[in-house]
Amino acid sequence: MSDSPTPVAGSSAQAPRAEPPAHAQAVMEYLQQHGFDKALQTFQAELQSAGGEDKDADGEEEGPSGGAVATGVRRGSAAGKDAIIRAPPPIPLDNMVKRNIPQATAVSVSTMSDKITPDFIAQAKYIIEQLQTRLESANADEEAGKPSTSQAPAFIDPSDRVEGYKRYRRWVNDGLDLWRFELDNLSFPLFAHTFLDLIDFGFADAAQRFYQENAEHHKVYHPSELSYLSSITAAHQILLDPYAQRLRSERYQIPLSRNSFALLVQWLSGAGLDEEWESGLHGVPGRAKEAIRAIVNSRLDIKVSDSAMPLDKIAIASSSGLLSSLLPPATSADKFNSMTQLKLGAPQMLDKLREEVIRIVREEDEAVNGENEGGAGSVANGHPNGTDANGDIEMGDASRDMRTMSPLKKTIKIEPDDNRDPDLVSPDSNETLPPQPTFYKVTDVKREVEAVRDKRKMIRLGPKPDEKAGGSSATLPSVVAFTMYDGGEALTSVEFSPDSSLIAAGSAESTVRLWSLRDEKLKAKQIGQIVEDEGLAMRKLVGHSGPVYSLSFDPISGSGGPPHSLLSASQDGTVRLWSLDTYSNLVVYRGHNRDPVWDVEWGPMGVYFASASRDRTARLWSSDRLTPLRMYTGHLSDVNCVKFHPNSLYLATGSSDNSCRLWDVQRGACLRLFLGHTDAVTTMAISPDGRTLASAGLDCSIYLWDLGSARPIKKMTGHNAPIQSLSFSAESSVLVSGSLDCTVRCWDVKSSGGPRTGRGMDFDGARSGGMGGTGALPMGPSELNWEDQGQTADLLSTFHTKRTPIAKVHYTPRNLCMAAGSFVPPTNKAV
Amino acid sequence: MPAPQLLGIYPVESVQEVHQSLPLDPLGPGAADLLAGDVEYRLHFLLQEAKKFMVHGKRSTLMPEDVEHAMEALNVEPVIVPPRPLPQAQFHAVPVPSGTAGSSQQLYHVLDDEIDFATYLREPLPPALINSAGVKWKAHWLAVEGVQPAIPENPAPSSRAGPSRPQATPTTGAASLRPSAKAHLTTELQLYFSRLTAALIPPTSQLPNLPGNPPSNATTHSFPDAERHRLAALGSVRSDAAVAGVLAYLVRWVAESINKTLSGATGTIGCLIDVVEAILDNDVLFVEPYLHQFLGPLLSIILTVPLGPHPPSSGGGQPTPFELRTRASDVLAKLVTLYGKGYPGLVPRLLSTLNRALHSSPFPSPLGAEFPPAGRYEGAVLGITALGKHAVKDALWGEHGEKTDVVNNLVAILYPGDGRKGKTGLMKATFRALATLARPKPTDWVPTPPSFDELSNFLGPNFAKALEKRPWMAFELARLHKEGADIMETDE
Repeated sequence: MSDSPTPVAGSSAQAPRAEPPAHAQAVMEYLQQHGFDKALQTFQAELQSAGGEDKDADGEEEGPSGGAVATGVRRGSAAGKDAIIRAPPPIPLDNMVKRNIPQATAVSVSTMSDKITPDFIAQAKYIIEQLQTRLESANADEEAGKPSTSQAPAFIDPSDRVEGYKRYRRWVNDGLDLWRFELDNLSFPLFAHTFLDLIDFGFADAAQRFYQENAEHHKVYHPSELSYLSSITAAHQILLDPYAQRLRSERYQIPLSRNSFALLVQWLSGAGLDEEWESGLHGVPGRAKEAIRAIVNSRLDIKVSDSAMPLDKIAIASSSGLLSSLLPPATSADKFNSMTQLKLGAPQMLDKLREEVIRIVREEDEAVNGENEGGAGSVANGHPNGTDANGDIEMGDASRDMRTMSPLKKTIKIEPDDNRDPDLVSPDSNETLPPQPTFYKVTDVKREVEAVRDKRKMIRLGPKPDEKAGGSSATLPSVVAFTMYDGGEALTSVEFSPDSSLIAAGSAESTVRLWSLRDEKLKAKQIGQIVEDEGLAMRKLVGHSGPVYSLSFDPISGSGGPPHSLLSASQDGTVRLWSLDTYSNLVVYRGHNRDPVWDVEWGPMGVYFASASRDRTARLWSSDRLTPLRMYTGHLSDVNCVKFHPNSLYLATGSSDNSCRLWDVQRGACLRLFLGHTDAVTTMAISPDGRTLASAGLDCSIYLWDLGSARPIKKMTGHNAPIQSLSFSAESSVLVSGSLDCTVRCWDVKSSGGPRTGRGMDFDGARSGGMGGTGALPMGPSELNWEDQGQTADLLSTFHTKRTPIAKVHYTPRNLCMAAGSFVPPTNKAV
Repeated sequence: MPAPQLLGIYPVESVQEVHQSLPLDPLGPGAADLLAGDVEYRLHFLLQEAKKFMVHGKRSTLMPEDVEHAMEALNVEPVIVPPRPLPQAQFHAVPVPSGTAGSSQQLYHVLDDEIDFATYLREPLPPALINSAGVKWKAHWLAVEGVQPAIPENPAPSSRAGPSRPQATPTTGAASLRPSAKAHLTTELQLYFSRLTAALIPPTSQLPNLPGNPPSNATTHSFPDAERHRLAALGSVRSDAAVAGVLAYLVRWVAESINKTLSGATGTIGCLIDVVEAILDNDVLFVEPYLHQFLGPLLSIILTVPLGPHPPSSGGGQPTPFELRTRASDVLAKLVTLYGKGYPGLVPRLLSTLNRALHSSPFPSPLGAEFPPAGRYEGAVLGITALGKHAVKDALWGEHGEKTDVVNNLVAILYPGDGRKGKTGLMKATFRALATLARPKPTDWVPTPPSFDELSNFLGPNFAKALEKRPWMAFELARLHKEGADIMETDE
């Protein structure tokens, strides 16, 4: 404390000394008019010390502290009095105190000396510098014969900015509930810019304090942005940090409804019943608002909607933020997302293939019919809804009887999608990837026949159509959990083969392990030899030199036979193709340089695959070429996951820039942008019917998107740790999610969602908000369980594992859900 | 102009130490500050990158290899870390004599020995690797048509503690309690117990409407239903002999509930304290076997920081943490007066616990507040007050007031910058405690308090300041200081 004021006072005192006394007068006048009392005092003190009087030490000590509080003047120390008398024109003491009310209440006499912080000195110096430059320019103007007063924008004072932000928050919090969320959405950019302004002017201390006081409020909706901001401690880092750069260079878009915009304008212009406004622009409140207005005018882009109704929370989240760099210039998110029409239908099956499949299925059925010719016919006819019967599980004789039905009905069942979704446009046969061949192979027939069988034996999930009245009549999935153990936490990826015959696990020590789920030995063929070896229970694929982050089995045989190849993506920047016949590495795809590849997935018809990498691109590869065919660029941060649309026309990507995108696979153009997540998206799923995209990530919430319009359908919350995997059931009605919180949760896709209500008499859910209901007594009479807080109503059920964070969930075509994770043994080490 | 001081967590001294250890030109003024800020920024950046590797490794713990991969990705020369099962190198502390005399600092570094590859490979593998037969897996039904089968692989419905949710309560009280109550109690008692517990705790939504203590001036029928039920239930506990049948369960229920609601609504805690008091009031009951079960929860309320929800709900009528602590210490006082004589070890044990709390060094606020929380010390002083005069004398006063230093120092640490030191909770609590030593104020007393200087001489400035408004107390304390502790004996 003792050494810091001295150099400052000394160095900046030189400037006033050089000034003619007339300038000093003008400076003081300005300071006094505009209420910069602290600066005024400092300035006077420095003038005194510069005057060469022997009060040097006295002036230094008294100046800042006396400036901080008007009581310093009242105490009547010689230097202080002197300064006041000198200041033209002298103002009444009462007025002085009034003007200093914020400081005077905050600071007592005894702690005044604390106020002389480096920050305070920086602040005072800054103001004085600004004044000097302004005076100089004013002089220049006067010489040119122009009036100088018109060009005076609001003065930059850090305390004003902080105060402005606080006042805005207070105003929003005290305002009507109806508009609160909309207006509160504005407070994050205000927070961020206030923080950056403080840093920019060199008030690092004030900025830190400001951040610590106010960051908590934004943690819910802007966790990742906060982590970027928190690392900035100096002005030059604003130029380094990519996020800060974007904040500075782009306008932050805020959607507001008409009414809330009117409220905002009213507040900013001070036309309300705000008694503070009486003190005018020159008082603290006026300048605080001025600071907010400056941010709103120069940094924000407010989109006012036509409706007077308050906007939907999800809609707000998906249309606010730094959108301009995400979108092509001069396009709004809505416009961008509606520019193109999507063909989301399933591809047509080759006619000849379909005939062949029908023939085989019919033959099979006839064979079964032949067996049970006796009494089965009457049973089938007697069944009330025989057409719906193939939704049942195969359970002994009774259900087999049900499948005895006329072949005519069966042919309809082969292509159920044709009837179900007339509004989805199917792609042409040459549009898919790869284009549909004009001939078919044995594996194709096998796959399609098996698909028909799967459809018939599928367990129907979700609410039963005939019992809509009953609320709890939904059929929930059966889940098999595969728990890996003795591997530590080294498991980095798990994948099930489409025919559920294999499980592959990638580990942090760079190997891929393969097991058979059917308790068979994995037999390897030798190249050039027909004879297989005896087989091993587990095969290890060694080749990568870093953790294996993603695996994908080839889908060509579908559920009709074992896959023949496996793709793996790793931290070492490569994607490797493995043969599952020889259990050896066939191809290494390099293209992402040394950047880790986060995800890889086969296209729904094989041959092509896509990869996602830390280099902010997703790439499309053909398995027979070493270089990528397409690059999908546009994400502003790592691409974390890729997912093909089931008809192979589109590719969805999820990124650490909190957005998902949908790309045209062929053209490489971005077609849809999905905004709303508040943290990185790490996993996605597209429903088998091709209409819905589900995305989830570190913000522990799942978004459902309508692919056609890119509109968010709903947000589903309930997990309390990052979500690792999502999977839709075969009829797209139930979504399962696996998370690091050791739970598998089932979600109802079709219901409307929203916060959970009812269940007795509690209103806490809304009141205690994000606190997880700490106020609830666990054993109270009709109290909601604390775990249920924050869950949306569409959470069907939660399945806990003991200590297994779930890494992968997967629905088989028959709607059995499989989940996998690695057991975390309880340790004493990790506290 | 010196660069504005950066407020990071990376110490400037560290930069200076590194600089001194290298043959470099002397650092310019402010360079260390700037460098420290820059280092911190880079560290943030590195960790941000490392977090991605953690996320894709499907973990929620950051591992050394994540940082290593991040460094690789950012083109920074990595520090080679042995893969996980192998033993990690230990940090070695080297004391560094720093510039300021007296305070030698510790510098930590990893020994970077040269490793002979052949011997390294010949070393035995760590036991974790040798004993492991490799990764295996096991399948089980997590759910069958939406129902979790009760097999050992699945967690029991009541214990849902996962590794990533350490804050999960191990048992939800009613679930773990009811079966045991069911096994041993008659249906009537079970019904009585469930009604009693339901009525004793009004639902959280109604808490703002009712105070933790029933106000004395209000008539019973003006309360909302929940409060009337609660008062009736309390009355039952206070007087009914039937409580004896469920006493064991009731005591356990109270203890568990208090443990669970320590960060819950303060009104609920208040209700639970009422229950404890009511049980103690009932002279038909044989409470002695359960005394120790009350002590823990009561001390928890008195000493826990932070007590009550965060952020503190300012809902009307809810008691403040200070009021709760006061109330809990009143109940503790009641307990001590009833049973302290019979169990001679009780008071000393409590006193040593509270004393330890009082003398523990202040810790940074867990909620990120600017100052260390004062609640623990307030509670400790209140608790000591509850233990009686001797305890106050032993712990807070000493012979001639020498032990007041503790409080005096604490006040300076806990409430810096607060001008109203006399009104702080700790001061209030302390004066409450010292009032037990003082004589009652005679009605005809003419205020002749000792001077400020005299008081601050033996009590410290903070005390003296607070005493300005309490002339009788000041007078008495000065007297106690002069006459010493033999006052105690004459008082007795």
